[in-house]
Order: sequence, then structure tokens, then C-alpha cells
Amino acid sequence: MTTKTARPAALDHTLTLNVPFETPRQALIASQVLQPDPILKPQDFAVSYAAQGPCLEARFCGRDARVLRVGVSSVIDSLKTIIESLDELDQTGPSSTEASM
Amino acid sequence: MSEEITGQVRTYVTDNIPITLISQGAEAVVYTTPIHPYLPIDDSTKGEKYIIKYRPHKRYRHPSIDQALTKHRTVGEARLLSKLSQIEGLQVPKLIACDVYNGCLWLEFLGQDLPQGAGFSNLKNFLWMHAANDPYSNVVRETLLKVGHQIGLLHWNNYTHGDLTSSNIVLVRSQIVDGWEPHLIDFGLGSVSSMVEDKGVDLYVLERAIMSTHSEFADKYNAWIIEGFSNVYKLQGKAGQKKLDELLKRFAEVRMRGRKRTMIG
Amino acid sequence: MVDLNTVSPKDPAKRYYLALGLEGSANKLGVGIIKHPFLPETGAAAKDNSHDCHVEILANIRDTYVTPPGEGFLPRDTARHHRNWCVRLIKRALLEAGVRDACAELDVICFTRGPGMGAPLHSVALVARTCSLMWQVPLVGVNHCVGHIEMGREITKAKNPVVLYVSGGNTQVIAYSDHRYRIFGETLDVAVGNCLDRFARTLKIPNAPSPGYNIEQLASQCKNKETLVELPYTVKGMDLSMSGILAYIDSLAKDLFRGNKANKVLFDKKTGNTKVTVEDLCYSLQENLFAMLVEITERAMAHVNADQVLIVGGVGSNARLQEMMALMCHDRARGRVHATDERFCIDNGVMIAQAGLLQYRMGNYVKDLSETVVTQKFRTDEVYVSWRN
Repeated sequence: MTTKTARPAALDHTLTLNVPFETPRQALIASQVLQPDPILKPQDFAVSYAAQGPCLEARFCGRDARVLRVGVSSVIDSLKTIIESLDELDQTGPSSTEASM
Repeated sequence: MSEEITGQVRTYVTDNIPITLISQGAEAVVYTTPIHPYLPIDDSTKGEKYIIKYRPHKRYRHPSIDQALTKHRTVGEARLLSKLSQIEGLQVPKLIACDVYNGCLWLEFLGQDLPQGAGFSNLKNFLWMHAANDPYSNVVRETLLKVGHQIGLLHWNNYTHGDLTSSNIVLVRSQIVDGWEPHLIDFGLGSVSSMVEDKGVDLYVLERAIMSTHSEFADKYNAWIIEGFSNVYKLQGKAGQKKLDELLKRFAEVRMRGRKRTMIG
Repeated sequence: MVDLNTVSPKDPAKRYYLALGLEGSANKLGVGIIKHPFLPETGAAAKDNSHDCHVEILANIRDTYVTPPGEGFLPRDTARHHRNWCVRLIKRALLEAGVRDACAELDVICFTRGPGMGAPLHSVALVARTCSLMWQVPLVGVNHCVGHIEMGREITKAKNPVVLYVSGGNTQVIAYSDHRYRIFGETLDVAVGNCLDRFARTLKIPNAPSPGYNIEQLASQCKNKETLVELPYTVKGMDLSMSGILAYIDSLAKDLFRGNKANKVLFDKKTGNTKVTVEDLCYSLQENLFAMLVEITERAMAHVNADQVLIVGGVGSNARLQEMMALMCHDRARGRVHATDERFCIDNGVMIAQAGLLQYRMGNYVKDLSETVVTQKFRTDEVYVSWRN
């Protein structure tokens, strides 16, 4: 039970973002890219990603509003990079091959 | 390159003093000579050998840095050797003469050739010689305990060597019993230090050196060295034991850090 | 025996490997594309040919985040710079290299996993992961220092040199032994490049093209090369320490600007005239720091009995350092010093591709994306060098 008391009351500030992508594949890639990075302070902040169809669902929870805001904004920065990569570089990938066929 | 440097040394010591190159390190070159710098040539000096350790001028660095370093290091080593020779039981080469501005030290020659053509009597060759037939013989054990004892004395008196390897430990045939007396040489990186860190690094450097040159038997060899080392501290009672524990703990930490991996050779 | 051909090229008919390298561990963002021909002599019968892969550089693009004079680069801002430019640079590199279908043509994507600044590393790693997933190309995480070493070996064809790695974040003397690049000596505090950068900041000289380059220019203009400003010389065995030197020369520079006549190193006691100029300070700092670097390199050479030195890292492009090292090598063993020019000395993507491709060809690539988490601390000797004997 010590874990419960050591863990502050709750990460009760939550936010869920639904980010639409062009295809389910892109949403899946985004979730896989974001997944591996560890959270620096898991006792203060947590995030989980799931691809649901063409949407990426990101669930955040933080111990207070500030922590939540900082965490969410850094994930959004990362997302922008991923989306730019998908938008700009995916043409050279399978889709362009398919298109040319 | 060594010809150039040997040329410099020849000019410096003049033709009256013949020199033979025996080792070339990064910082110094070492020669032997049959001539004592100030004793007359008579029966007492006939057949003797002496060491000339010369720190050559380095063209790559600015002359003023070069001069300052050569002087500082030659003085440092000479001073250290003279202090170490006053410690009872500690065996280091005697300082005979020193010319700091020319980067030259004149030292007592230690060691001899090992039997069966096994080379010069430093610890490295000695261990190699014994590895062939009986690596764990009594004479090896006794010698390594004494090596540990020497390093123990050095550290207990708050000095560090800075470059402990099995070739920087020279064995001299004992005059009293059948065996070898280890002497520590080459204090070019030595210093006065009471820091456990420096001592821990010293021990680690030696451990790695033994491991890389005598890997098969290294565990036992190192254990014997540490045993001899510890005995020095234990003789100093409670205070000694406390310092020993602290030092060995740091030694283990240094080893864990895995830095300063000594190479083969 | 090392077989560099354990993994065959993506399209066996093409008989070459193509690698994309992404570097962003500090303020430089680099993208490189290289080609290794598939050589039978690097196969099973080969000895140790990892320094001679016949690399062909198809693209080598870099963008540096330059800060105003007197300012260093902060992780957050640097990361933003990398995020803004990374995709554009990759596009340009692919175009330059004539890679039209990355998915079909690239064998591997290599990125810097560390050491370096966390946020910039992470930005680039994100792009690397995305590209890997969308093109279905394997990933290799590369140690930045190993990248420098492998690029240096390939360019100079130095087979087994002692390596002096000098950059803004690192100062190490490295020698290869038993599948590791072992660190012989290193800085105990700040890196030599960092020391020069910070002094440049005190002097308020421009950060472009690089602070170290500008210090080198000032040093060469020194008019009084006979007399050095005496600085601490802090070699500690195989290691060195530079924070004390930096603090001292910083205080001298500040006294010089302030006109603190009480400082008799700088001002003549009687007349109050300046004895020392900014150029003199730069010259003395270089002479002192580089003498220390060359000395520990010589120690390592004596230890492993090597006769070659390879200088890598940003500071390695300094002509004076190269000159000093050459003198030492010549006097020591009639040996040679190898230095690469600034295209490769300064952080770039090609070097990451080179080290990464070697690793890939040995069959060692990322199997799970959890292996791609970047790390600020990543020691050179942590990497298992499978591609050498």
C-alpha cells in the first residue's frame, strides 16, 4: 500500500487529444514513433498513445495544470515534426509507387 | 627519432661518458652508463652501471612551455625520489645527480638479467618466466606480497606513483634470503597525495596492467598484491584498517567505472 | 576475420549499399547520404577493411544554428532549429543524391543516439523513426564519437591510429583494442571546444563560422609570439583539466576590457601601458591547450606502440593543432598525423551514415523502437565494434 501513498493523490488533470491523419497507417506510425520515449517524471505526468482508425488518440494526465501544459506542448512539438515528415517525405515512399502504378 | 635525441644527450654528457639506450617513453628516454658523475673511477665504481634519464626538448610545444615543464618535472621527480628514499622499508632507486635545466637525472641502476635468458628482471619478465613452469610457486607469491608491501608503504605515506605497471617494478636479488626485492621505479607521474581517489586509480592501473600481460593468472596475482598491500595498513592498527577499508572501497568504485583501461603492451 | 557483407544490399542486383545519416547532437544539423560498393574483398575472406569501404558521398548537407556574439546555444532553441530544418534538409539531400524512391533504394537510416544535448538529439530521432516506419527501412543508432572515428579512418585510410577526438562536447584520446574504442585519457571537466567557445563569448567575438575558428584567426595575428602569457598546465596522467585555465584566462580578458591596472600580468607596473593584447591571449591559450592535447596523445602512442594519429572533431580543423601533432608524430616515430578537412571534422550526417552502415552490414540494427531512445551520455567504449578485428 506504500506505493499508493507514495504516489501523489492522483494525476487528476487530464486531457485527451484526437489528431486526425490522412490514413490509418500514418496514425499508426505516429503512435509508434511517440511510444518509445520515456517520461522524465512518471510520478508527475503520464501519457499513452493509441491509433484508432485514421486518428491518433493521445491521453495525458498530470499532477497539476502546469505539468500537463508543459507535457502536452512538448508532445505537440514532436507531433508537428512527425506530421511534417509524413507530409513531405511520404511521397517518396510506397504511396508514390502505388500512385505511379 | 631516438638517434636525434641520443645525439643531444651525447653532446650534453660529452664523449667521455658512453651511453646505451634502454627505453624510450613518451616523456623521457633512459640510458645506462658505466660512469659515475662525480666519484672517481676506482675499484668501488668499476663494473657498476648508472641510469641517465633524459627529458628531451619537444619541438611541438612553445619553448617557454617546454622549458618550464622539463624543469618542473625533473625537479619534481628528483624531489619525490629523495623523499621516498627516506621512508623506511620503501625501495626506490637512489638519486645521484640532477640537472633540471637540461632535464637530466642520474640514478642508481637496479636489477639484473633473469636466468635462462628471460630478460631484464622487471616484474613483467619475472612473471612470464615463471608462467612457463610453475605460475603459483612460492617465490612468485612471496615476490608479489612484497610488491604489495612496497605499494602499501608508498600509499600509507601519502605518495602515489601515477603509472604502476609490471615493467615499472624492478626486482633485485635479495642479499639476505633466497628471493627477490621489488623496487618501484619511474616516478615521472608520481605525486604527494592523500586522496583515496589517486590511490584507488594507482591500484586499478596496476590491476589492469597485470590483467593485460598475465591474464591467465591475474586473479591470484592481484589478490596477492592486495594482500601484501593490506598488511601494511593493518599493521597500523585501527586507524590503518579504517583507511584501508576506505581505500579498497574506492578501488572497487574506480574499477566499476571502468575508465583507464590499460592496453596490452 | 571480419565479414562486412553479412547483410546483402537491398537490391542485390545493384551491388551497393545506400545509407542516410542524420546528425543533430549539438548546434549542427547534418544530413548525409553515402554509398558503399558491395566488394567481394570485404567479404568472408577479408581481414580488416573497415577503414577502406570505397565510400562515395552522394550528399553532405549541414545547417548550423548560429547564435549572436556572446551567446551560447541552448538545448530548447537548438531543438527547435533542428525540427524546423530536418525535413527540408533530408529532401534536399535525397534530391542531390538522386534518390527518388527512398523506400526502395535506402538500405539503412542512421541517426545519432548520443552523446549530446537531449532535446536536439530527440528531435532528429523522431524524424529518423518516422522515416524508418514509413519507408520500411531499418534503423541504426550511432554513437557520435564512433561516427567521427569511422569517417576519419575512411577518409584518411588510417588503419589503426590513436584517435584524438576534440570537439565542443568531448576531449578524448582513444585507441582501439579488442572490439572497443577505449578511452585512454579525457578531460575531467570541460571539453577543449567548449573552453574555446566560452572564451570567445567572453571576448564577444562572432560565433560564425565558429568561435574556435575566430580564436584561431586572432591567435595567428599575435605579434609577440616569443612571450607567452603563463597559464596553468594541467595534465593529470593521461587526463587533463581545462576549467582552471578557462577561469583564469577569462579573468584576464575581463581585466583587460575593464582596464584594471592592478593586474600586472596585463599592465606595466610603472607606465600602466598594456603588455598583452586579445591576440596574445588567444595565442597563449591555444599554445597551452594544444600542448596538453599533444602530450596525452603521445603518451597513448607510446603505450600502444602506434605511429599514426587521427584528429577528429570540430577543433581538429585547427591548423596549429595539426601542425603541433605532426611535429610530435615525426619526432616520435617518423609517424604521420591524419586530419580531415572541415567538411568532415565538423559534425555532419555522412559520418553517422558511415559508422551506421558498417554496423548495419554486420547485421546489427534496431529490432525494436525502444532501442532508439536517445541518450545524453553515451561513452565511446560502450559500443561493441563488430566491424573490426
